[in-house]
Amino acid sequence: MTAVILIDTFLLILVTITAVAIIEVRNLYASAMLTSVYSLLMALVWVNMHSMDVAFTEAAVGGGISTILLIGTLVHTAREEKPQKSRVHWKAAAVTALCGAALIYGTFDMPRFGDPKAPIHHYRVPEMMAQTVGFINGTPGKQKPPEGFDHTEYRSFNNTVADVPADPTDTAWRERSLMAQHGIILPKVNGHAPAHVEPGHTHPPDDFNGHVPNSVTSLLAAYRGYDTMFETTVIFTAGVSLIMLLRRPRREGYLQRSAPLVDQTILRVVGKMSIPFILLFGLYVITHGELGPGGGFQGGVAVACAFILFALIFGRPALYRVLPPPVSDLLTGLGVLVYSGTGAACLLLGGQFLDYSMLDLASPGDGEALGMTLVEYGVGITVSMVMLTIFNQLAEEQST
Amino acid sequence: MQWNHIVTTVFLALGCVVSLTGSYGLLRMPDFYTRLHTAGKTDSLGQVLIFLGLVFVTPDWLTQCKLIMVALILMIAAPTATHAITKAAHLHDLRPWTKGDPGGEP
Amino acid sequence: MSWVYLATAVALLIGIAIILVRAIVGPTVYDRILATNAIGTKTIVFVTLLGYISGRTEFIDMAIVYALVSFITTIAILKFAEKGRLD
Repeated sequence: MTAVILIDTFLLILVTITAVAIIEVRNLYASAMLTSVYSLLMALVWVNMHSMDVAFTEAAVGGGISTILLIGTLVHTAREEKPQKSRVHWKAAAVTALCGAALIYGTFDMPRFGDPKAPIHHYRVPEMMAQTVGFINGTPGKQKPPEGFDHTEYRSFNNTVADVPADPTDTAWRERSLMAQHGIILPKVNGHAPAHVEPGHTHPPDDFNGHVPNSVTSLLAAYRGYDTMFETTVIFTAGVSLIMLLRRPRREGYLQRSAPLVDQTILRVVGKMSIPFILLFGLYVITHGELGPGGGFQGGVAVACAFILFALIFGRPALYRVLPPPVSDLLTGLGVLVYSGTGAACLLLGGQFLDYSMLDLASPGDGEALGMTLVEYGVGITVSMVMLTIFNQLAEEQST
Repeated sequence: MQWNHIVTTVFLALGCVVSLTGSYGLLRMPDFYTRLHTAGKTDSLGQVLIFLGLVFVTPDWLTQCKLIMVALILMIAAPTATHAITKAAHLHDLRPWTKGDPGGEP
Repeated sequence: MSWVYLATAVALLIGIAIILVRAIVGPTVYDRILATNAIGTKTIVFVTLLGYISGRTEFIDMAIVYALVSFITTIAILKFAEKGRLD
């Protein structure tokens, strides 16, 4: 029993206890706070599995924003659940038990936790690792290169590298030949046939990854760029639907009855001090998402939290003076526009939609990195403004 | 054992002891204000000790700066949150428990 | 050295489990708010320690962001408990 499995088991026991407590506790306020605890424990489970981006998003969204929005819904409803006669519904229990048993039976076929022979370690990931940094078993950036290794020469895609490979399925041939010149030999991985290459464009046909060390971000933003674009559109649609459902036309004095916390000195001073810091750190997380854990979603949530803190301490009228609703509505759409605009720019520059390597023809890997930065900014803008919109709509005292 | 490993071990052990004592106090104290006393104080101190202990073992200076930054943030934010909780409880007429009152269960 | 990190992480986990009891049982609502805040702080420290156990030090970014976000969540919960609205 390794330490990882012990910690995992213990955390999952705590998660189960919390989940049962969320259902059993009748006070809705307590349930909302236990939901935050549940999200925190799940974030710890993800951290234990070394999936940092997932843990980051779970902690920021589940432990932060979701709890605030759940409290926001508590404003509109009662504090306690009505007592119900506990009567077990046998048909529903049977269906649930059958589904659960089927799911557990399905997991018998999956590879064991931490198995090095799992399929995920053999198809795409070694190629990506070879394309980004190229060190064997390398956590990108964490291993020291051998002596005499020149990073700039390694990362520059000049055409004098080596000749075209004999094997058309070898997609990492540039890096492999340059590293072979330095005496570093990588294990050969099985690629697949390259797509059609434009004549005159020296872009390696399947080098989607670019020079981005964080493989999660490069997978999300480049390899599955369409998915992420539509996810951003889904978030945008959620914000739009909330506006359509909950926003009432302005009437006289609707913002007068707010309850700011300005009379509490300590809270006001500490909040004022931390708001610019949180904004700056959110921007850092969005930009640094390529090099470490982070990205557009997590940074957008941090930026939204800064605005929410401002609204909590100084009241929503002050927030509407700083960031009027027309501006925040406009910015929700602007993020999606930035994302699809980057794709369209690549289309107009002669490549395919969302083929970021067109942005920098001299060095396609750097073009990919630039494209990923731009789309992460788009995602960050949309996510932050939509979270702020949801908070604003839920914090109005009277809804429909 | 190098000297920074020994220093880190001492700091981590102190931080652990402080945190565990605070958690146990949160479980056993009879009243909300006493629980606040234990949990709020020991929380802030424990995490500062652990983060300062980890500073000595980190290889690069950027992570050291970030660790000190987290410790500073938590040192400012955690007591503020504790103060806000106390003020909210006091404004809602939650009175401290004195010995002999009923209902002071651990 | 890694056993020191592991022992600290286990101690923090035990601390989280004890506080969870208070979060579920706690008679008043402020007990639960206090317990949630304490679990948040211990999670931040635990995440950093897991980073040191596995040898990667990039986890500190998540700790910073989560420290700020949990502070804001506590303020939101308290504002609702005190004033009854989130404005």
